Amino acid sequence: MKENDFNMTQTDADFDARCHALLAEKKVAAPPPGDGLFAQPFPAWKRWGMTVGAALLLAVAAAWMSNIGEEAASTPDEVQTSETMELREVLDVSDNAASTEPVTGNEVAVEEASMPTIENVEAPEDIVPTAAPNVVREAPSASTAFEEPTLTQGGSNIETASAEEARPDGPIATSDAEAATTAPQSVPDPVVLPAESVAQPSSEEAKEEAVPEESKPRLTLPLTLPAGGGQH
Amino acid sequence: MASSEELKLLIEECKAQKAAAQRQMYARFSGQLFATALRHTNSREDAEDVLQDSFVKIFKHIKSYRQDFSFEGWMRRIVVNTAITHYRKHLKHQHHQDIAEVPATPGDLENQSDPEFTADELELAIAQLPLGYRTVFCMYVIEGYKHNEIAEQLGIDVNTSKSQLSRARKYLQRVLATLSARAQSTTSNASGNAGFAS
Repeated sequence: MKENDFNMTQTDADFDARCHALLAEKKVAAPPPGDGLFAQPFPAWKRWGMTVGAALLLAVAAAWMSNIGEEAASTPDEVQTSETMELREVLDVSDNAASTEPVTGNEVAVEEASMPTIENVEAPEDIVPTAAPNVVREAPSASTAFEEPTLTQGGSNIETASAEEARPDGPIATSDAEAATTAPQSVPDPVVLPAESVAQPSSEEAKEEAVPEESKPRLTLPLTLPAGGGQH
Repeated sequence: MASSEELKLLIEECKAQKAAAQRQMYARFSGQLFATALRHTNSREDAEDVLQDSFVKIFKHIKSYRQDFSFEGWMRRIVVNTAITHYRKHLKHQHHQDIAEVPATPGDLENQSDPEFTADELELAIAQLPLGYRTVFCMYVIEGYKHNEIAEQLGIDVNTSKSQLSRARKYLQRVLATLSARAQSTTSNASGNAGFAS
């Protein structure tokens, strides 16, 4: 019988088993392991770099935190300044509104009648300085022929209206008090100062001279000037 | 039992990528795996490359090893697969050498069905096989692959695997019988000379 190459005989099976037994557990001296075969612990330079990086990160964080702290400390001043700026803008707007709003003749008469002279103005003792700016403005006078300089100090504005703006026969500009009440913005009550040299009509002047000093109306101004009170 | 528990602990530490455990693993199994690599390559240099690549794969994929299989068998399969990949890479640079081109062993020793041989002689005979035949023989006989697995791994037909195995086996039997006969004749000559001298 011809032996088929593909069919394994018992002799072949024995031969395979013997070969397996000889070689399966055979060991040969292995070469040393190559570089980088094993898991490397963190190398020293990597550890050092991580330390430096962490220190830099901490320094940046500390600088950022200190910067935040400084900003927080300077915020009230900035807020106060910004509030002052906003109030100034509001006051300017109200001034413009006051200078263009017409006033009836009766209002002008009442205002003129109650308008004291500057000598009668007394500063109240119970005035408490506030941060809110006050506008001190001279009342418009029909006889004022010149425009007085605008005084600005701190949060207070002291202005005078020109005579042309306060024409008695035309649309008369109201005082800042009226403008403040009619203006949409909530502006602190301005104080109307009497004109320093108000030229009253001669007939009224004579009547006022006849009235005793005690019966003359006195205007108490809630004038608030900033601390220091210097004028520019 | 203690060795099995020790091996499990070593495997777990290697899964944790501990370098000390990996060194211990290399020291424990590198000799056996290097022998496997030598059988599947043409030179010691190639075997060293295969061993290095195999251990890289072992340490990389050891997390996928399941305890219900033999760890040594799992590692040896990695070595064999790496050797096959290595063989395929270099296949285009090698001329196909059929087993018929192997120089015939002097003497007809087919009647000696059960030759006596040692492991070194067997390795020497296997090293003379062309790489394709050698790979099929080692995969089937030493590593325990089936013919369909060999055919799939090597990209050959199953019958080709069977044919190459049979021809490799016959060749090895002839070579080993020759070596055994030579050894016997050398021994008898030595004893005869010794008797003649005495």
